[in-house]
Amino acid sequence: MDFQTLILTLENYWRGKGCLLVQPYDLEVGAGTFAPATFFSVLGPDPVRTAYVQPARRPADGRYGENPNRLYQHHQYQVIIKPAPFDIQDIYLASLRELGIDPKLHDLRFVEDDWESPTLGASGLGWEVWCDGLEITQFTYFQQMGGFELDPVPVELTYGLERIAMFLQGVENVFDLEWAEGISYGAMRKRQEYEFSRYSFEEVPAGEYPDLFRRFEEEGLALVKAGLVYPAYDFALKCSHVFNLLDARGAVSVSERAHYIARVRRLARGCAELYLRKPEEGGGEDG
Amino acid sequence: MAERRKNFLLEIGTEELPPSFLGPALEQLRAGARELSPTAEASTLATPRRLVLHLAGLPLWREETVFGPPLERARDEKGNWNRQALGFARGRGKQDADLRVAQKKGRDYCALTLRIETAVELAEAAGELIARLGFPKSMRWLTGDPFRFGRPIRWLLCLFGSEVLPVSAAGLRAGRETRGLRFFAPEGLKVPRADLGEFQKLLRDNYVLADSDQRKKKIEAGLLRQLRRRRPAAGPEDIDSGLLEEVAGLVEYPRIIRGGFERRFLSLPAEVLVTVMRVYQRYFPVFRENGELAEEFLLVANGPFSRTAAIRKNNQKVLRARLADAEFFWREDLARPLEDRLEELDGMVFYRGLGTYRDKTRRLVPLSAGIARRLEAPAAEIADTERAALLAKTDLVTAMVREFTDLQGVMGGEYARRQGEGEGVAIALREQYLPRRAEDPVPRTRPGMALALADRLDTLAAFFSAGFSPSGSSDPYGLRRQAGGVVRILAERELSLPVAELVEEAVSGLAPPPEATGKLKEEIAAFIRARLEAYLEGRGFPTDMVRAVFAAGGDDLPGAVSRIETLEKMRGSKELLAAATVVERTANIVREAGLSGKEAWRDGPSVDPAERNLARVYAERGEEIRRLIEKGDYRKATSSYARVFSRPLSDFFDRVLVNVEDDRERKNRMILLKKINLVYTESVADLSLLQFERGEHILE
Repeated sequence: MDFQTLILTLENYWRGKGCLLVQPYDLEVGAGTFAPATFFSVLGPDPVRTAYVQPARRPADGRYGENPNRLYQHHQYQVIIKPAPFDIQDIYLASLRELGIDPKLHDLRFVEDDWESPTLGASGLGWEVWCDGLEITQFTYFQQMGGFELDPVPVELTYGLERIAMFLQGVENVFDLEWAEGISYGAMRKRQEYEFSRYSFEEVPAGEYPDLFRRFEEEGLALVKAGLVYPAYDFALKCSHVFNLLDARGAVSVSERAHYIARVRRLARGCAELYLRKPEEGGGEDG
Repeated sequence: MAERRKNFLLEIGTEELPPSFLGPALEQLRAGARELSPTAEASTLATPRRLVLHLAGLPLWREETVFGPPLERARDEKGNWNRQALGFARGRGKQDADLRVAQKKGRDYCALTLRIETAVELAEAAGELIARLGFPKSMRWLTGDPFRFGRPIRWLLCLFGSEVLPVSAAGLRAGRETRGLRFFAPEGLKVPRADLGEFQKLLRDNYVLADSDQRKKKIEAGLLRQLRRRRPAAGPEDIDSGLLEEVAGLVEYPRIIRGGFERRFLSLPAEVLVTVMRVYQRYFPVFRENGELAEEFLLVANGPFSRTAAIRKNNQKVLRARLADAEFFWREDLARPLEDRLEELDGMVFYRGLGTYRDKTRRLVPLSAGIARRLEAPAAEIADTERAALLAKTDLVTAMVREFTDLQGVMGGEYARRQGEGEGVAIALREQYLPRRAEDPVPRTRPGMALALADRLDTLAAFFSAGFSPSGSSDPYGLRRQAGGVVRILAERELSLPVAELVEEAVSGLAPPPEATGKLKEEIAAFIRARLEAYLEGRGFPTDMVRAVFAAGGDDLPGAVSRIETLEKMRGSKELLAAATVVERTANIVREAGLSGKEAWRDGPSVDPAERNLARVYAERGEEIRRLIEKGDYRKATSSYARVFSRPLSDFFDRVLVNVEDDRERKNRMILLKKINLVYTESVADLSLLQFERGEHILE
């Protein structure tokens, strides 16, 4: 199964489960959880069923396109359902069958992995799902987002698309994956991997980016004050990415690290708070 | 004919619970069972997807007496039950004929005997038991319901005999259905009755080994069979027990599969390979006959797989990628000398508000060198200690240790050795964190001991000075473990180091110097002392003996231990009892007098001959006892002390009254008694703290 068929299969499967298929968010995020389609939709009482592909950038994981398993940017398939269905484990496992993973031939396991994102003020309990020792999905019941307790409790499924594709195609180097028939992942992505690795490890102007972070932060806080929740959250994402770049560049000491993270969290919390206010108070979706 | 007794079966079906949750949950189920029925035989079972409680042989009902109004208010003038009594009976669904008289605290009451159905009680108790189960970390999943559990509950089975009990919890009602292994068993397995054997067989037939111990034994046997192919002498001690426990909690139907990796990875340190396999993949390593690692691993899969080739191949692929990462870290780390990493320690905070690891390094160098000197290490070893202290924390900023924190120290040692540091330095780096756990050995080399002690003392000094001292049972920074490490090293390596002075050095090394240094030092020393007492009690020495010996000073730990051992062997002997009597008689009467024992005793006309005799014995024989103590011959010192002083002291008390009106006279006598007391209690033990058996302690 090539990469794009993998995505299509998941899209079809989850559409069949009543999910709204949305498109990737157009800002740099480190994980699908950061996209507004997750961050905001898990807040509040309204039911949600949504799924999307999200390219995820992790500057520190870049390896100039030389490591067979590590990427500056990989793809996640993200499913958010609120409230979490009673038989969500079975629904998830059935999606693996769709991908051609026969559970009687493979060792599928739910291994404890509690997830936490101090940057988003988010936490949840769940597992990494293992297929023959390979982590293919992060399965999390969110308990908190933006510092707020969640009720109803949403479930988040994050499929690691490259890993699953490598597993399905029996490939040991991610760049050897078939994106589509006759087109390799390497042909599609290798140059980007190299250039973005060089950028984040060598070219990021470490002296100037702290100021950039500060300006994005100020902008975000001002937008929260102005009651513009989505633009404000965009600036939280920009801050988060600038921080990731500085971190990859080795320009963040351990003590500064906690400080940066706390600053993004403050902004994210402000956005969540604003979002949860009733529309007439100036917040809320499509308010 | 109805059966007289029935069994109870409760199964809480869940999504996969973390392995570490299972044991404590079963513990709570058993405790709950004891409350429910102290006499019933309780059994528990657990897999990642179920917690099971079975109670055998419960009666169908029990009788309970319920008291109504006191008898005098329950009868009318004719002696018949009055309205109040009848109301009491009806309220319980009974007739007046059921009313009887029963006594409570010597008073007569109107009473009823009620039949309590076990089924009713069980149904209620089971629901409460489920709601009460606590987990290290719990979650919510029900909308608008604060109910928490380790993971979501998805089914409940609850039977009493063959009847389903109406138990409700977590938004579910109990039924008689259980589930077998996912994918391999049909849905909706019906359990006809609460029979433990039948239930386990039903599960086994559906690929679930429900008993954790059985599962563990099966895995262990399977692993041993495989390990013995490489090393026939392999035994249970070759299997990581923590990993075995964890893996047994990850599967319902274990199946052991053997895999392999490329030989080239064997050039990585064995600890790295073992850690990668354990931490990332939960694989068991395989060792060769010569004790070296083989290029193999054992994994425990979950299910009765008919074909395992794909599982093996895929796991091998995952491990290969992991090992390639480790190999990359290893090469990268080696290319950069540890010493060059010192700067990076500036950016690594030791603990919030307690400075960086660079600051810690600056303190460790003089502190550990000082300890090495006290251990009479030769110059070369002192140099090794200083060098090791300088490099001690540099491995924390290597890629390998950032990824696997467990390998701190181990990697420092490996990198140091390959980067041309001396072997002594490499070993000290590795030994600095020993003992990590109770089963670990303590450092063997002097630089290792010096560094390990210095690191812990510095940590204690830093945390205490910042006010992070443990209170009650809470010890979030693991300081008890640090102090416990100090104690184990001193005790097991028999180091005669003055703890109080070491603490002082650690505290005075802090920058900026903390306030109230005196109090701080006392707190830390007392904290270590408490660990020491706990350690010695853990070795089986009674608390009273430990306290008695430490009252005479415990700075020389091996000396104190040897005193405890000697005196403990003398426990119950006439000599010890007599010595304790001398100590006690010389202590009691002078306790309040505030004497140091350094005051001079003066002879004079008012001195009684018995007092003079006692003073003479003290002057002539006191020194001899002190010498025995100094030599460490505590047994002889104790019996001499008893023999020398018992009789003269007895005579003294027979003839002389200490508490006389004359101040000077009284004080003079007390001085003598104090001196005799101190001969022993100053440097052996304060025997007055010992608890003697009743009747053993006879004051002559």
